[in-house]
Amino acid sequence: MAFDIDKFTQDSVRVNWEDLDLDNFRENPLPPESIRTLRYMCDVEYHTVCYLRDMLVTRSHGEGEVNAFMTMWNREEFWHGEALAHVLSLHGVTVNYDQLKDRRVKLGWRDRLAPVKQSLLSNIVGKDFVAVHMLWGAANEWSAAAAYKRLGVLEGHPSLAELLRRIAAQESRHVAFYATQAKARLAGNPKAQKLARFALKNAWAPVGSGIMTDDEVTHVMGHLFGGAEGRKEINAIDRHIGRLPGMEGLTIFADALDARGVAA
Amino acid sequence: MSDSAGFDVRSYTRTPRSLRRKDLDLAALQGLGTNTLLTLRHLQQVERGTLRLMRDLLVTPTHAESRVTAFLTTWAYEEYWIADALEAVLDENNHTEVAHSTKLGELRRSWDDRVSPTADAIRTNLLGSDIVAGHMAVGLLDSLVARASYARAGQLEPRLGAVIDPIVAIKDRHVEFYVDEASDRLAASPAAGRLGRRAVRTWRWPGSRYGAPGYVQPVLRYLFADPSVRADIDAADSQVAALPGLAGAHPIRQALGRFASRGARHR
Ligand SMILES: [Fe+2]
Ligand SMILES: [Fe+2]
Repeated sequence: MAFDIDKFTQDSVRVNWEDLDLDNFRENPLPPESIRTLRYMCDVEYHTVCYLRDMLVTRSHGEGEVNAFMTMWNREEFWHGEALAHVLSLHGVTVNYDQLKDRRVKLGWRDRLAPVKQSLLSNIVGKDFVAVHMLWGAANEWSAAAAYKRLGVLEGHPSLAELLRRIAAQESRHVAFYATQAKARLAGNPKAQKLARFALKNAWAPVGSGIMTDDEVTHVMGHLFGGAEGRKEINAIDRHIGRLPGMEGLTIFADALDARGVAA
Repeated sequence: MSDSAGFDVRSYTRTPRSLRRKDLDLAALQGLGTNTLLTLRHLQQVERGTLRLMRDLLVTPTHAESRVTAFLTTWAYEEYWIADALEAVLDENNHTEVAHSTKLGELRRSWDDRVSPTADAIRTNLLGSDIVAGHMAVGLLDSLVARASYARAGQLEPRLGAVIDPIVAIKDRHVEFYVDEASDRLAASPAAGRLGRRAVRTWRWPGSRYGAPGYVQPVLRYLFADPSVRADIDAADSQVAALPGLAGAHPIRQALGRFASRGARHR
């Protein structure tokens, strides 16, 4: 699988919702548990710029293709946040710059990978760490795509489903980039594979952990991925990860659900 | 998302301008002179350095400023397409030469990539949000000299108009944002004012940190040596001097002066 960076940058647009009939939320609002999930997704999307920072400090950048992707990706994710903020605003939930700032200030410099980096001296690990970042990104993008797909199915609201479909389509292109990068960097590199496996097993947590409270993470996991249908999606992500070099048999997503008591 | 008064970040994020190759009449831009090509290459490489700049801001408390990061997200997107358009013009002229880093430049780059983000993160997190004032002042200076460079390059080679005019308009908005942010931030506290003044004092001409001075300097001589541009430089400096606590500052003229004296020594 090759990733065409020129096509990706050329095609990169902000997600659009102006043509969708979302105003009928005013008469037919979404249920509270969906609002809670949307709020979570919205915050995670806006937080991407902080994740970009974590990517940029580990020398994942410096190559034209990675730089080009990061620029477009960061903006697309920002617009996912804007789109969800719009849906939330129709439900009387305001998300503004000041609130986002407060959250980031409270978080400080928190990078989930930081302890791993420190323990492994990233200056020595260097290039191999880029493979970890790419794999990490792939896992997050797979789960984002699955989450939007699931929410669309659960709600059955036609305009919302279309908006979520548009967002999920962008997430799938992000998956393609990260998975291609991860595969190329892991293949034939047992050291990077070992490091990546170690990082996923010991440091990975569902996207949003560390930004949101544990209660919120558990709510979203249960809401989107509880039950047999949800578990099917989760197992599919684990299978995708397991197909990458050196990741056979990892079941980090299923493990995360089990650890949170989300029943299959 | 709601926004406070001043520069309207929300509207800016909604109306980015992206220069696309397919909209340019590249054939009309063949056979550009060497000075023009060297200038465009210099500017293109500066635009390509956007993510490095972004990283340097994001490791500091500035990353929490969601208004600033919303701006930066859109700014990086605009800069990407500016660089791409310039690359298209350079390609059309078969100009493949890039400014290579010097040995010292490589050392600096490696330091900047590996050590200084961490050091900055620790240092600036102790300083707290006052550091934002310095970042905004530097962003303003970078945007002002980029704007002046493009405008001047367009004067010297009128054929560039179709590429340069939209770029200048894009830079105008960047300047507007930074003026607005820097004014608020510099006035916020004495510490912010101090950090802002220090940032202006230690500001360096974009694209001059890694490459040989022998590369940037001829470009700046080509663009700014003529006495007739003095007024434009003074006008740009006056936008900095109008900021709280920076009366009398003329960092751009000063930086050009340093390049000029270095040139005199080398010749
Ligand atoms: Fe997203
Ligand atoms: Fe994504």
